[in-house]
Amino acid sequence: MKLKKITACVLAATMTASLFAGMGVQAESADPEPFTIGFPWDTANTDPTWISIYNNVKAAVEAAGGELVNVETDNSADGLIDNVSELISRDVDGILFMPASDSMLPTVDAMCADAGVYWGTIFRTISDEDIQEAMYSSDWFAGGCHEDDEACAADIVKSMSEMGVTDLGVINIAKGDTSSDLRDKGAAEGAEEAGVNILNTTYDISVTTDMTKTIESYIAAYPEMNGILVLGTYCEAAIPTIEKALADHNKAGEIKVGRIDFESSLGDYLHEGTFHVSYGGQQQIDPLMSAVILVNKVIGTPIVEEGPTNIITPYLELTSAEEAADFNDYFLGDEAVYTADEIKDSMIKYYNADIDMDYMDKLIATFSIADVVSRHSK
Amino acid sequence: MENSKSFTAAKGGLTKEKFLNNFAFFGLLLVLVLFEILTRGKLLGQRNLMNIFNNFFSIALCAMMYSFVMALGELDLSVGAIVGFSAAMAAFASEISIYLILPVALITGLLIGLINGFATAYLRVESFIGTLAVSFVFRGLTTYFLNGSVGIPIAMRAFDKDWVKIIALLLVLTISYLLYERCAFGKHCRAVGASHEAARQSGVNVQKTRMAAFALVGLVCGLVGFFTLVRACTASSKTGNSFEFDVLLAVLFGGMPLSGGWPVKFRAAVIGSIAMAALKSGMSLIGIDGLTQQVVEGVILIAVVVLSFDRRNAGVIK
Amino acid sequence: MKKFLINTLKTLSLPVIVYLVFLVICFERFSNWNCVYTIFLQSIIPTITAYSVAYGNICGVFDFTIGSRLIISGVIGGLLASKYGMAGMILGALVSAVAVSAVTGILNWYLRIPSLVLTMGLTMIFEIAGTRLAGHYGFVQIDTKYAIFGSSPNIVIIFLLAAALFYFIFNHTVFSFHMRAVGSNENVAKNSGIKTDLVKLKSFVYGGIFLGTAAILTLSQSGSVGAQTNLGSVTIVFKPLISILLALVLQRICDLTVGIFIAQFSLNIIFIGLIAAGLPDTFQNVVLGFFLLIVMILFQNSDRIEALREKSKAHHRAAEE
Repeated sequence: MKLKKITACVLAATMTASLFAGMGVQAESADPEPFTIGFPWDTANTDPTWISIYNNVKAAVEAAGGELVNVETDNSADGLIDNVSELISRDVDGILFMPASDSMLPTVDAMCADAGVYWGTIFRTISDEDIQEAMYSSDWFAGGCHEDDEACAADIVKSMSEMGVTDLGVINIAKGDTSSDLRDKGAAEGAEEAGVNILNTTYDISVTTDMTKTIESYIAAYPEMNGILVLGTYCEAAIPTIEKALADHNKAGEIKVGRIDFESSLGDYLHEGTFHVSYGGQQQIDPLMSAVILVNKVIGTPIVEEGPTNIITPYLELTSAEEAADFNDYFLGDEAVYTADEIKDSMIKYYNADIDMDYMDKLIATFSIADVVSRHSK
Repeated sequence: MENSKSFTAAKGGLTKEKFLNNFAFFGLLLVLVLFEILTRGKLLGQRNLMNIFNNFFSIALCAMMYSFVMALGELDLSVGAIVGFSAAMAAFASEISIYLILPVALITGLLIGLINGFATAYLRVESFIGTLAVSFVFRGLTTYFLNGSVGIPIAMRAFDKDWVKIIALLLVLTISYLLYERCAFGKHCRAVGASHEAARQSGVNVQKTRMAAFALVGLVCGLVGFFTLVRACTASSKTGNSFEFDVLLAVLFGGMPLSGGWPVKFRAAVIGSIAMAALKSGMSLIGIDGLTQQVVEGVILIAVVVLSFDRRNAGVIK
Repeated sequence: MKKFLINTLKTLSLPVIVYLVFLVICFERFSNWNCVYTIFLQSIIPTITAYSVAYGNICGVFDFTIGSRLIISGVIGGLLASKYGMAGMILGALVSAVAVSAVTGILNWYLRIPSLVLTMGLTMIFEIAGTRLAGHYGFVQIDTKYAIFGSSPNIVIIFLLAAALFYFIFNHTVFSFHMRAVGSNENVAKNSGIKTDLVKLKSFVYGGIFLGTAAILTLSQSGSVGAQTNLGSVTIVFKPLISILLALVLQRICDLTVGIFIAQFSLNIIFIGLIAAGLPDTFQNVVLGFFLLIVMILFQNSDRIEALREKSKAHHRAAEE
């Protein structure tokens, strides 16, 4: 009984103290009303790409005077639903996330509609036609920015075919992920068109030892294999590991290697001639643009008046070690691919009334590694 | 003699014994008070309370039934795989009829629980290894069958309402509490955990008790699978991922001993689940990054067990 | 001699049977020497990792930290390789592995809490330490000139040395007797004067030597070691653990040193076999799970199986009479 009394007193005192602690004064400004954007992201992941994604979203939100609220996520469908619920409870004005699947989106939309919160997506398109139709008619879906995963995968397979690849071993991220499924589909289409034989696909490799094992197993089981394509992976140091396994079996350079999504080590292997083709470069511009779309919607100046704003970014291609070095310096550094001032002037409609879809499409068309270097080199 | 050494916080009040008995409760109180102040009242705000509830709901459901397995001195590392597989089967069942979602999830969970129970009780496989093997099998099968992800009608979100979950939680709480504290079954579990030979000699059917405990965990994992499914309206190969660690951490946070037997307290499951959810929510509210959160959780886990572990009655510490 | 030969044949029958199964399924892809050699090479690092787990496992200590300790020592080895070359890599990985293992062992001794809980908490901390050490890119990479241990014949030589050391420590030291005593009944061991806590600490430290070796080989074979978070490193312990359990089943017919390798070799045949058969990699877990379950059932019920065999023999004898 005593214990309960003590507990009750302590809790009552704490809650009273916390009531007073929350008081503050709001300042007036010519800028848009202060707003907050929730962003579920795994900040425990120290991969520079993951860090750069966070930095780009943060830059876009802060450029318009907003605050980014992060919650830790495992990026699974149920984890993200919990994240959305948590962010709604924290009174955010918009939520930006990377969907784990199409089928989770109606749930998110319903939750956001109930709470009156806008939401947007990064990296992923909506493939399911019924879900796409329902989401596009939602008042709360701001839209998103993504690359054309299917075309990208098809094109990289065709590109490898032109290099002489006929039998391909494939690595991809876990099945069920929209990008993974679309890249699988695109690779199959590209392979059919170019007459390439896909020998096997291994999914969801997360550690280097498993990557080594898979590549060695491919070499052992498929002596005819003359190409390895990484459609996607969350394994750190994926390409160095693959290159090492190939070198140990005297296959470096002989087996052509391709990868979707750039990583920091590609320059070395492009220089050595043992790595052959990489399409990507969207990991920074996609989240930044997605955040811009959501921010514009939240502050009441949507890029597109009716329905969601959807921007498709063209994927870039790394062709030289110099470009790869520039990519490391200007895309994976601490700075976003557009500075706060650049975002404010050319992407936030509140400050620039000329912004519309045409304007954004033209802006995106100029985006390249050289473009970022020319804008940000000191 | 030992008692004379114990400190007295107030006359006839808190002794060391009492403190240790209520350690998990004090831990929870400390977490709540600390983060309520640090978050300037946001932690226990109405909206965040529901958020904490949603975060601990699934873990608490499973942790309560997990008490029976812990009382036996066993572990179940397949709970995440059961949640994932039952959600997947239920999602497939929804293509036939939405009325099949709940029964299929429950039956799937129960069946896997029975497999675990049978392997442990009758085939004498060590629970740690047996359930690990079962989790490999069903994780693989989930990924294979789903071949991506499968959605269910959005109308099923009606079951994700707070009141539905509160009723479900209270129901499981009542049943598991009664089974644990008021029925012979709970006592049998603890007796087997303390000494299965002594329990056998006093008339307890050790094998059936083991089988039933694992079956109950399987059943409740089916229920968790159902709620996970209706919450996200999708089942994917990631559903239930690392849920086994969440549940294990929750019961350990609550001060539940791994040795089984009579020291296993039912309240540890509930308090541990709430404490963990409040801790995570509090750290997130004050903007602690993911890396630091993990270190804090690791340190607290060790600290809780160091302070609450009953070394005198533990005998051998493995 | 005859018994030794019979036991050797029995031991080898496990990988041979598994190999034959996949040979039937995909003869063309599986019937080449390169395949068998790759399986052999792939079995080396997990075997040495399993050696590092084995001492603790025999003592009855459960250890979740293996993966995170492997990463820390690999990362430190990789970092020192860039500063001090080969010597930096070898000493860095070995010393850090032994040091972190010793810290784990000392904490296990002094905190006196179940090893499962302690190592789970420590894994959370070690993972972040590894991540911080790995720096900006989340992984460390070594120059290929330092990666000479990752390929044949060096990796085979190191494996043979590691196996010899494991065999010696496991069979011919006072520690080995104490370790078995602690594992079979700690109370009895304590009452007979064995310093059980010291034995457990030694099991961590000796295991650390093999873990450091595994880290060097991992660095050399993959050329890099990446950090893990959110208990992602825990899964690294499962496969070595499975091979130890299989080896314990085989212990009656072969030494644990060989048994662990045979078990790991058989598991790798399954892995490459599934890839060669063109089956989805998800089947790997299913087959692995079933394999483990069946072996454990056979292991735990060997007395029942023996009794059944005796009964059947007696029945036959009675029928003949």
